[in-house]
Amino acid sequence: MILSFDLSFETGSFSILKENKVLYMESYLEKNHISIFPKKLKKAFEDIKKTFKDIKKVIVCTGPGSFTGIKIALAFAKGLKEASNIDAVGVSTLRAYAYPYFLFTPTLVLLKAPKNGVYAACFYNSLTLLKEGFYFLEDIKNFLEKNKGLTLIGNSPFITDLSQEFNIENIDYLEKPLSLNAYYVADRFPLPLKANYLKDADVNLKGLEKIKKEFGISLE
Amino acid sequence: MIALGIETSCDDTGIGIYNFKNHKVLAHLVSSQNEIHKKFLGVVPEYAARAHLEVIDILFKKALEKANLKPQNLDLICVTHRPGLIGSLFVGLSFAKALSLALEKPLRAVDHLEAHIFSPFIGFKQEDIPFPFLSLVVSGGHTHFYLVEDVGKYTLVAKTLDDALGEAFDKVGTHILGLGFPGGPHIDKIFKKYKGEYIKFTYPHIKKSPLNLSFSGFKTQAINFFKKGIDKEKLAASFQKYAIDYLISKIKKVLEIYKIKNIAVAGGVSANSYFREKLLELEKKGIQVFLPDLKYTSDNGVMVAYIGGFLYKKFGESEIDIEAYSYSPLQVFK
Ligand SMILES: Nc1ncnc2c1ncn2[C@@H]1O[C@H](COP(=O)(O)OP(=O)(O)OP(=O)(O)O)[C@@H](O)[C@H]1O
Ligand SMILES: [Mg+2]
Repeated sequence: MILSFDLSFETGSFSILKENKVLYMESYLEKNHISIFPKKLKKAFEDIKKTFKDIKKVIVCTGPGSFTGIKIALAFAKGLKEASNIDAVGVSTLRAYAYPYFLFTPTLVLLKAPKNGVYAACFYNSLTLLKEGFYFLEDIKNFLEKNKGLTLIGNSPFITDLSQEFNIENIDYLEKPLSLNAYYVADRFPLPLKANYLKDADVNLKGLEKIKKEFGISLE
Repeated sequence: MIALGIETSCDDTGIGIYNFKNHKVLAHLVSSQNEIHKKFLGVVPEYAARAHLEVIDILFKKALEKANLKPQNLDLICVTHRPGLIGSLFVGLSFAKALSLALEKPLRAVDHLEAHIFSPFIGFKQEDIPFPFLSLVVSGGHTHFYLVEDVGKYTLVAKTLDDALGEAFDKVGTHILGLGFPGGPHIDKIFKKYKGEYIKFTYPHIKKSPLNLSFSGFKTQAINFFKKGIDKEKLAASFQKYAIDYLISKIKKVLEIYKIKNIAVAGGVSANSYFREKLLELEKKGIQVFLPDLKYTSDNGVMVAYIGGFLYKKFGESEIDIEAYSYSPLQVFK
C-alpha cells in the first residue's frame, strides 16, 4: 500500500493506493494541517479497515508552498519512515501541479508565494525550460515574451492577468488536490525527503535594530 | 513502560528515551542550533524550525541505537506542544503524530514548562517526588515560582514582572558586554575566574507584590556601568553576584510565606555555578533543594518523556488532532 499526501497549500490531500488502485482519496480546504491532517488520515484508515502497518511507501510533496505546510508534511513523512523503516520519497509541488500537462506540452506552473512573487517552473516532459525558483512577475513576463504556446497552470493570483496579457487560452488556475498527481509523478521524478522551500527565510533584523536602540551601543 | 520524548519548542532539538520500569534514562540527545543563530544574536524562528526538520529523524535513529531499541519497543510518544516557537513546535508534533499512528502507540502532549518543573526528579519514582514542592523555573523565558501539589496541579505564586533572569543574563552578556550568544554561560565563566571586588547593583523595590521579581533594573544599571567604562570582567561578575543574591532573597521569602521545605529549581539558569552554590547553602537551613543534573537544565527530550509518562498515567493519551500553541500559561491539563 502506498500513502501519498500534500500539505503545501490550504488544500490538503492524501491518497491511499494499492497496485495502482485508489483505495481512498480525500482533500479538504483547511489551513490547520497539524490538527486536521492526522485526524482525517486516521479516520480514513479505520474506514477502509487498514492499518498504518500496511503502508509500504510514502510519497510527499516537498514544496514549494507554505513553509509551515511543507514542514508539517515532511516531519510527518519522516516519522512514518522511521517508525516502519519504509521507503519515502519527495515530489516537487510544482511538478505535481503540472501533471499531466507537462507530459504533452510545455507547462509553466505558477504557485502562490510571499512578497508579490511566484514559485515557478516550466516543464516539458523530462526537460526543464524554467528552473524551479522564486521569481518576480517581471521575470515571468520576460519568460513568456520569449516562449510562446505554453500551458499555464497553478494557484498564483497572477495567472488570470498574465493569460490575458499574453493571450494564453489553455490555463488552469484552480487550486487542486495534489496527492494523486504526486503519486503519478513520483516514479519518474523522485526527490529526496528534503524541504524544497525555494526561498530563504525572511530574517527580521528589526529585532537587532531594536536592541541597538535600547542599549544605545554598537553590537559589532 | 518505555517513553520517547521529543522537544522542539525553541532552538534545541531534543530526543530522550526513558524507561519507567527501572527509572533509567536510555538515551539523551540534543542538537543545539547556537551556531545558526549566533550571528543574529538571537533565535530566528524560521531557521530554527528548518533546522529541527533537518535533524529530527537523524536524532531519533541515533537515540534508538543508543538505547538499543527498535521503534516498536517504544510504548509512549511524548512531545512538547506548547509554549514555544510555533513553527518549531509543529515539526516535533507532526513527527510525533506520525510515530504514534504508525507504531500504534499512544501520543502524549506535554507543556514545556511542566517538563522543566519535573526535570530535577528525572530518575525518581513518582512516589518519591516530594509533593508539595515549590518549583522555580528560571530560564530564557521564565522566572516563575509554582506551588506544585501533584502531577497536573500547579499554582503560580510569583514571577518576574519584566525580563526573565536568563534573558537579563543574555542582554548583559551578549548585547552590553559583547561576550557572545547566549550570554549566561559566558558571564558565569568570567565569574568563576574573577577574584576582584564587586561593584554594587541595587535591588528593585516592588511594593504591591513583594514576592514578584524584576530584572530590568539590573540591565539598566549594567548599561550605565558599561558607559562609565567599568571593567568588563568586574561588571559581568558583579551582575551575576547581585542578580543571583536577589533571586535567592526572593526564594527565601516565598519558602517562608508558603511554609514549604522543598524547592526544585529548573531551566537553563539553574546551571549557573554561583546560583547552585547559594542554593545548596539553603540546605543548611533545613530546606531540601532539588536541582536537575546539569545535562537536563536546558531544553531536552528526557524531561518531556519523564513528565509525559506521569501525565499519561493520570490523564490518558492526547487526541491525534491536538494543536500546538505558541503562548499558553501553565494550567491544569484536561
Ligand atoms: N551558567 C549559566 N549561568 C547563567 N545563565 C545561564 C547559564 N547557562 C545557561 N544560562 C541561560 O539559560 C537560558 C537558556 O535556558 P533554557 O534553554 O532553559 O531557556 P529557554 O528554553 O530558552 O526558555 P524557556 O524554557 O523559558 O522558553 C539562556 O538565557 C542562558 O543564558
Ligand atoms: Mg526551555
